[in-house]
Amino acid sequence: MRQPTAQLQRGSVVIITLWTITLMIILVAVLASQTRLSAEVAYAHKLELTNFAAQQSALNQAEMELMMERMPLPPEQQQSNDVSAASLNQALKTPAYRYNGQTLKLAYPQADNIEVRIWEHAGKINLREISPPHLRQLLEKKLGGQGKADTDKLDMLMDAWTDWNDLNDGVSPKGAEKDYYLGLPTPYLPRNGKPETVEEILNIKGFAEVFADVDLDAAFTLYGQDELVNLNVATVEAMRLLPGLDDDSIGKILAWRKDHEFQGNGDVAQLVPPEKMNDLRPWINSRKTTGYYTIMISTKPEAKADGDDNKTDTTAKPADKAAAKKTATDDNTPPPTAFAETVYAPSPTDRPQVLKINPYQQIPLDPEPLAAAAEAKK
Amino acid sequence: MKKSAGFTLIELVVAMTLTALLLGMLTVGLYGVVNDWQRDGSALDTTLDRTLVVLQLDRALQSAFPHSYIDTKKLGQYVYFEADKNSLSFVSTVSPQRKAGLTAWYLTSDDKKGVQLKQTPAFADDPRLRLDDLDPVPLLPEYTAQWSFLLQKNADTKEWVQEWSGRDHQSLPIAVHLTLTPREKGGSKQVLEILAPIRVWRNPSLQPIAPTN
Repeated sequence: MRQPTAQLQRGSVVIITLWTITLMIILVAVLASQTRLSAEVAYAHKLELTNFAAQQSALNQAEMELMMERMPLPPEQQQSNDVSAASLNQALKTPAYRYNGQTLKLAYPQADNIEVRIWEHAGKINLREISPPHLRQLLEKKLGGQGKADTDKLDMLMDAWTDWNDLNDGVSPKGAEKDYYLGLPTPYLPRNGKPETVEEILNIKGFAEVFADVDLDAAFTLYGQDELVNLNVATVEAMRLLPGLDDDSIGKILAWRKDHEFQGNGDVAQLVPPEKMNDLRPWINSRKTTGYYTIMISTKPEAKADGDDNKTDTTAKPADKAAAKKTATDDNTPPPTAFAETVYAPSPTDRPQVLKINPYQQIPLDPEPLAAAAEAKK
Repeated sequence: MKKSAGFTLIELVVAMTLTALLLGMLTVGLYGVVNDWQRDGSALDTTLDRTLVVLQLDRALQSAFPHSYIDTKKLGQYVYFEADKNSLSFVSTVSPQRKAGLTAWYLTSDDKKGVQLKQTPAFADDPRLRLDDLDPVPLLPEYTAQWSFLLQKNADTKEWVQEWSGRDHQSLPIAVHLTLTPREKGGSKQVLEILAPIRVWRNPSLQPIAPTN
């Protein structure tokens, strides 16, 4: 039986309306996602710019801080009426020793998400001034310990070191000069002079293998008058290389220097066993300062990590999340980096002289876990 | 009068015209939007790529390092930074792969091929020993580059110069000005500029040579 035309027409109107609405929805969705995309891009761009500006301003403030270090204190700050033991201890500490890599609060405030750290180069081992017997000790410790290292390999490394640094092209008995380096897959010439960056020593025959697991910039420096290390500001990486120190004593040193100061070797001897102290003594000078600093400006990672977590919350099951966390702590993920600037700041009136800039410098190890472990043992 | 069961011809024509009109409008609108989106997406991609390249160049120039090498023929120690009209070569702590150590950058600008790049680790010698054997990679094929360098003439005066040789100056310029001009004239692309200050312009073991007039 046929339906009346009016009803037929009413049915077609419904279908046409539905189709129109569907198409309209698609149109609006496409437009919305497009707008959202450009908004996100603009936001990311703005965030990046703001961060970079905050980083640069913190860098300038850190340079200012180093200049202020050389100025006399204003009269009203010189005397404090607080006579509690803690404040006296604090007042007696050398202010320059706060440049040991801890997160600093500068005289002028920085943006909230910016972390400023400064390392005084007295806390690193000087590669330009190191004496061959001292270098041999370092290598010996790295190759397995005193008396246990392969003497042949040690001789080879030492001769290669000499050949790299001396001005001539004469080859030492077990060393390497031009002929060896030009025969490599990527050929290069030896320096025949003092190194200009610490990473350069990786190019010396055999050294890349020995120092593969060391953050060289954290352990070594090229600046200062001698190779001695001031334990008040020493980096974990440098202390790990020093003869006579193991993670146990390093932890003790780190915990102790939080509220004390090493005035001389006597203070160190309280923390390091006597037989080890004999190895360590020729390496340390608890009063050394150099005036060379590395400033590192990093952006706090929290904000970014939160964003990532939220994403995994909505998309991943708990098991996946655990897997994601595992990969995040994997060795393959690159270590955190910071904008680093190495400066020489000898004067209160001139801007520090910049010696090296690396926008993607690896941040040295956090001393906190080692110090906490030592405190827990006590 | 008995109502007819079907549509009249006029009714059909009107309905079909209206439907066609509506569908046509929708199609055109949708086509426009999708097309627009695709164009925006690919434009965004290339803009992002280009922005990254420009940003990397800027960072690399700002992190330039006064790397020095020994010339075995002349028996002298020289700072490495070489630039003429068509090529610019410098050593920086930055490399696109974020490798540790120093990297030598070698930029060339060509009217036909645009801006090209060669890279090699700087090690401790003259990077030109390795650069000659490398093939250049296109960096910004749609652009040509011009560069100039800020020279500290004496304590008070600075001057922009067109060429630079580390051998003559024994130091780096205190700033580099890079202008990237689109090869197609009148296109939608704009002229890009990089002005990078170089704060590490002196090698501690070498004395900069004062320019002579």
